[in-house]
Amino acid sequence: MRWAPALGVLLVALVLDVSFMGVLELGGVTPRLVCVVVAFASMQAEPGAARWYALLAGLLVDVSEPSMAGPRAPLYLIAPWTLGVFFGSEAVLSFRGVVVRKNPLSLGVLACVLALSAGLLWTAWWALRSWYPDSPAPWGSGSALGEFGTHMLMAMSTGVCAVPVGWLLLRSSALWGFPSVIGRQRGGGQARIIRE
Amino acid sequence: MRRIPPIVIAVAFVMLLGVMPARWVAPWSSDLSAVLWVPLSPLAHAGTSVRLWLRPGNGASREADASVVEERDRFRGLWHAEQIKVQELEKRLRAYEVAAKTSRDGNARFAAASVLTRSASGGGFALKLNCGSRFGVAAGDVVLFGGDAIAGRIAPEVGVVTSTVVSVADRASGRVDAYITPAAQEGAKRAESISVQVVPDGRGQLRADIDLGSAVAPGDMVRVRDAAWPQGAQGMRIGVVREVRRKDAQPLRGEAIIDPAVDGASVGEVVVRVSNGGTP
Repeated sequence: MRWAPALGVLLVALVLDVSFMGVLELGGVTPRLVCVVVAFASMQAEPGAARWYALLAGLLVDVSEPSMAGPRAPLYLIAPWTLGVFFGSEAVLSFRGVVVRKNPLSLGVLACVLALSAGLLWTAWWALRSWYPDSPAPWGSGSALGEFGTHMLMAMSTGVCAVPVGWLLLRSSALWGFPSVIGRQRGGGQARIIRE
Repeated sequence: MRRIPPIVIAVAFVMLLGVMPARWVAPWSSDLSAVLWVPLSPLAHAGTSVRLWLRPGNGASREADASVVEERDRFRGLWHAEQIKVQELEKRLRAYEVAAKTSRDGNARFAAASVLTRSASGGGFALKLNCGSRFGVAAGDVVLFGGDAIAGRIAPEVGVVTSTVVSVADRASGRVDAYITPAAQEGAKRAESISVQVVPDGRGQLRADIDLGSAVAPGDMVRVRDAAWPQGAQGMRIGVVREVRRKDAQPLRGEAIIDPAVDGASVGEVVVRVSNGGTP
């Protein structure tokens, strides 16, 4: 995977998430482009690069979205999204073998899986943190289950949004430099990666 | 000896950061966020402008009308603030039988700020502004929108060029003392005012306990009258009554459901009322 275009797309997705994606807000639920981009990279890239990419993407989300609860607000806590997106990327890496990688619908499904996994870990991490006196959970007197419900809706909207965005990303896959074909020498031998 | 993969070390490091107390993490992670957003802020500003262009807030009118309405709301807010001041003065007159002249809060000034990012928070919203301590903004300063509507207050940890607004609907805002004026008496010289205490309900609205026999009705304005808030916030709009209903747990008491005066989705430019010595 080429890092320069991958980082550029990630930053654009991050900026759009916090500024523009409110246009698609339905009932307080907004899709997340960062999850779509990370799911795309996790589907197509080498596992090692996909993991680092997911970790970086989650870190960027963590330093962009503060928690407003507690005496130290705004608190940019590094971990909930970083680990959540990483966890989601691992889920996509597990599932990517059973989907058609060149199909935008596959990206829709896997982006939903990634966002759901990230939301699950985010909720669990904040539930753990809420034991600390100086870090109340962002959902306040609400329940963690209710918050996870919101994340489920967000994951679904992300999955829907990922289909058209995935079509655009797939058109640009040559730019990303993914290993796209696993070939095998005619006379047998080890599998090798042929770049596009 | 087997080498530990760097990704495992990185994940372990992140987990360590994630369990650190907030007082260790907050100062440097705020700086990290500020540094990251220095190059991204212009792009985010453009994105917010496009979003507001594509999906403006409810009731958006023509530009000329909007400026007139804004002017009207500003003066209406000032008028309500003056009304409170007059009532206080009259009380003093009665008590001490002297004519007291008190000065308005002359130390305050206003700073215009653009909204860089918006995120959901605690049932309300959090807005990141391109205005920080360099412009005199301090924690607890009141953020106004459209003249006399309170969007929220500046959160602690103000950056040099950025700050964060905690909306009034955010649970972090806590209870606010306020009063409700019937919509029909908005312009009256001696308008009835019903004192209430509003509490964010965590679902984007505010709630206030009221007497079922009181004159509160949907459409009534809710304004701040809280000694813990800065002088400049007194009399400003915090919300509008959406519904009045009987409390299930206390059938003799009523509950007013209040919509915040400012919809976070429609905010692009705000004004911070910079008050010297303001405290959260």
